[in-house]
Amino acid sequence: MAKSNPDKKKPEKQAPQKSGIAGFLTPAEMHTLGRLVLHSRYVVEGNLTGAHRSPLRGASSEFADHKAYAIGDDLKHIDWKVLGRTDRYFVKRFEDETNLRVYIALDRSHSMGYGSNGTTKYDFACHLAAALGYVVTKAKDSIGLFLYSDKVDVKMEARNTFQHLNNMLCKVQEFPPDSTTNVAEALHQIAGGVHKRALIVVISDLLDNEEDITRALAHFRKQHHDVIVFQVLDPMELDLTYKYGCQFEDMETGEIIAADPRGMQRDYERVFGAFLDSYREACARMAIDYRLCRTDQSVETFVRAFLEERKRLSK
Amino acid sequence: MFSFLTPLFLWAAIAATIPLVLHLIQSRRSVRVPFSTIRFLKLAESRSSRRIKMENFILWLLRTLLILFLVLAFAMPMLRTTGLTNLLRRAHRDIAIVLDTSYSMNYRTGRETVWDQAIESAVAMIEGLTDHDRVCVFLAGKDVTPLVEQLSSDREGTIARLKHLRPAHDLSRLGPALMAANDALKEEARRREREIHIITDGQSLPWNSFERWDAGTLVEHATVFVSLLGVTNPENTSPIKVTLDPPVIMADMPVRVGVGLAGSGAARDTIVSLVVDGEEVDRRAIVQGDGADGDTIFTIPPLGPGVHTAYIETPEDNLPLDDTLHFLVRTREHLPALCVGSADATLFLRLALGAAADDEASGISLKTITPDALSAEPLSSYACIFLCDALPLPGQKIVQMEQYVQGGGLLVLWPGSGARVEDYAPWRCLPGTVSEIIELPIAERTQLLRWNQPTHPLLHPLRQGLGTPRLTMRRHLGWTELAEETEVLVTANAATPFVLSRPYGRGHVFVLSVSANRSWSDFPLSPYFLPLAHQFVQYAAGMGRFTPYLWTTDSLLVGEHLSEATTDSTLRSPKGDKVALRSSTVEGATVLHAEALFLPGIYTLSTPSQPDPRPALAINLTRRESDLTPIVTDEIPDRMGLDEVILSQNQEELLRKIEEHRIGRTFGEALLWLALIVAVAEGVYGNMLVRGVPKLSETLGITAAGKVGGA
Repeated sequence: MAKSNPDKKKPEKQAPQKSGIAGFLTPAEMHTLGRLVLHSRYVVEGNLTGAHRSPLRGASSEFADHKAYAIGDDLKHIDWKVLGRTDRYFVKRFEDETNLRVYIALDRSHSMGYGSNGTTKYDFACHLAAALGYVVTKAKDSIGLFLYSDKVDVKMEARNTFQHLNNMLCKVQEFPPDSTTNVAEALHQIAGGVHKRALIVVISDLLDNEEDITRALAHFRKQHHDVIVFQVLDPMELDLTYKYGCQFEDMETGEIIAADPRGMQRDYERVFGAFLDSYREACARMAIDYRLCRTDQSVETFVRAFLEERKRLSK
Repeated sequence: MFSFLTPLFLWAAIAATIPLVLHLIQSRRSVRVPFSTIRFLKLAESRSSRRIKMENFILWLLRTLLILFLVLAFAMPMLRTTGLTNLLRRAHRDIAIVLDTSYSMNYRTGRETVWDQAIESAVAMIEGLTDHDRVCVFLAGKDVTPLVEQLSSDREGTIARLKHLRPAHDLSRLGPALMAANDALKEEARRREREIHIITDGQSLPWNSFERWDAGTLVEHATVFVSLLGVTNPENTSPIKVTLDPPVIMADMPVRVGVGLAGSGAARDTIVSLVVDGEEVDRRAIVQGDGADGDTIFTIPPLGPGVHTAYIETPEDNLPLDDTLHFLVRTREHLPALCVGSADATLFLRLALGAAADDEASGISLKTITPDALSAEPLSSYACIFLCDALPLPGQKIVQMEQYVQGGGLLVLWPGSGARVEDYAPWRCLPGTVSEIIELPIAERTQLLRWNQPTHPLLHPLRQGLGTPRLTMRRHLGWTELAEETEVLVTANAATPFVLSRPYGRGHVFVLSVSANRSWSDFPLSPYFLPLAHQFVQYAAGMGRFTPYLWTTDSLLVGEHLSEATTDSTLRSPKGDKVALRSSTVEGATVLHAEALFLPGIYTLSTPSQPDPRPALAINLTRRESDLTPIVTDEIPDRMGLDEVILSQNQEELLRKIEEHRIGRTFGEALLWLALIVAVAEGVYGNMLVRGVPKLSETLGITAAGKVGGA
């Protein structure tokens, strides 16, 4: 007969009553996060003029290259010094600067509903998405959302208004973790839906077939997207610090296994460590920024540390 | 064969199933925990299931063993070491008790002495015997004394005899007593259970007597028990020797008394006092090291002539018998010498010693008598007797002379023309056999004296500034068959014995080869005559005819110490009891023995001529037992040559070990130690399992920015 788990505490923090941004971020957090910027490590294609490098040639003051003059080119861009030296007409071209489009791919599979310390992985993931969205929107960049489980459940295009961010987070609140997971398939769908170069932020526990997921991430990179992977894990999943033997029930499949966690802790950590290493190594190969998030850490601290480090690495 | 003293505790062995039950309950616990994915749990379980089972098995085993050891320890299993008949208490025992009777057994431990404890232990052992058991008892003193020689079932009689025993006044030798006890046990071959119990104090000395003991002769099925009673580190201080300086004490001359102390136990201060004639003369504090001996010197102020009683005393300790050492101080007003011979024969000797008699410092008092008056003289009052051409003498007088020498007197024999060769034959104390009186031709009369023993105390002073000793010798004694111990001190012309010396009894006999007058040689006119005569008297006085103190003994040759004692004399002990003086004939001579001188103190002698009792002997307990150095218990089996000796320190331990030996030995304590070891092992192993795994989150090294490995 099943009994309640003595190691699992009841969530102290209930689901946010407020909707939208206010449901996830406090004014103090917003104040802190408002000073930060999410930089892309690669060129991106945006709709508006912005602070990020664009693959296109445009009207910025940053010289890019020369091209032979052709009919229709603006005469003011002819490089007269080159004409004087070579008797040929060349037109100077300048780099374009555009805004950043960030898409958050948020996993809402059933396994994301696990939490041993009162905060589920999904809570943490939503909080993280809200913080990043606020940072992006504050920087006049665009934020979009893909909410997925075994398929993409919600798709919101990238926009750069707080209203859009607010609507996006309201949508997140409407969809609690449910359904089975098929991360790879969902990521493939997302990759198919984002055509221009953008920054894709994947927030998931990635508890699926690592090879399939790796291939899905590679799909993003093939399309020249800058990709950040936040693997959100509960401390209990990492360390398996249960004291007593019990029956473990898979939250997605409902399968049950009786085990002695204390006795198998060493082998569990070995297996799980190898699982994490496979993602870490694959992401390193594909130049994907891979981050491991523990749900017992502060989101604000994590985001601030992450962005400052990324800013430092982007220079 | 095992049995249990408290088998009721065996019911608690059911508790040994508790670890197994708890394990089963825990493994079947149906607490269901939702988990994000069990994929990794499955993988981990497939890898670790065998190891987990082994760990669980080891933990279960350790915990079960812990409970079982505790239960068994409380149940107190006994290993039956003897046969089934012993188990049924039907085996008959023969026990031989060897009781140390040395006076160190008088050591006080609180209200009772070690001897009391020994008797109590022996009595307790005998009381523990059954009707068919038998006992014999041997007392280990200087010699073995059987108290109950044959194995006897008379327990009451043996106990009664034991309770009337008192320790002896001498040392003890355990080896011969053990041999006697072993022989007594050999008489009954059918007995299966034999025990030899040695009851002694912890002193080391009695264990030095196993040189004749052969461990291979130990009777079959015999077990040796040794009870070392008393304290482990006894303390004792006793005076063990006294030396008087000078050895010849004249009246009005201070005396230096050297005192040697023996100590056992821890370092301490000791007060030593000297009492002479009942009055304390001096008192000294001596620091004695840890178990070390000590020495000190007292000075006695000039005493009047006579024999003075004195004793050295240390403060009363736990062994009070040896705290006092009695001795006698004999002071002389003069050194009496007796010269026996005619006026002509003694002329030069009288002149030589008479000149000294005028000198008060020398103290020599010479009396000259003819041989006829010899029987009326108390010879023992003379330090030295000169016989100058006094032979032949009647046999009775010869015996008197020999007794005098045996008692420590010095006899100087000067030959003369009055005696023939056969007149020397009855003398047994002479240095050799006189073969002839040799007349020297004129050409050979000049003789050069040679000092053969220049370091001899008699001759040593004569070597200083007297020139070459030369004399004219007309005749001299011829010697054959010199006695074994004879020394030729001076020779004439390097071949003719001139002065011969022979120790006899406690005295000495000196014989010169020429007469004391000029009839045989001109030696009386030589510058060596007078100093040699003086040396004879001085040497005689310092020869130690007087013994300051003696040790307790069962038989004392009276003639050696009390030459004036006769069968009519009365020797009394310090308590005033009369000491038996027995005469016996040894090699034709009558000798007097005093027996059983065991009581320490001053013995007095009274003779018909001097009826007032006067101090004659100072008897003390032998001090070999005063050294209470404890025996190292590990050495006892080696000294006895046995593999196993069961040792005990008191009566309770002895009885318990006898019981353990006969019935069995409990393993309760050993099992408790095992339980402790298992408990420690379980704790260490359990902690190792819990602490052995570092957390993955710590291993990965996740940074605040989520970077894994800190990179």
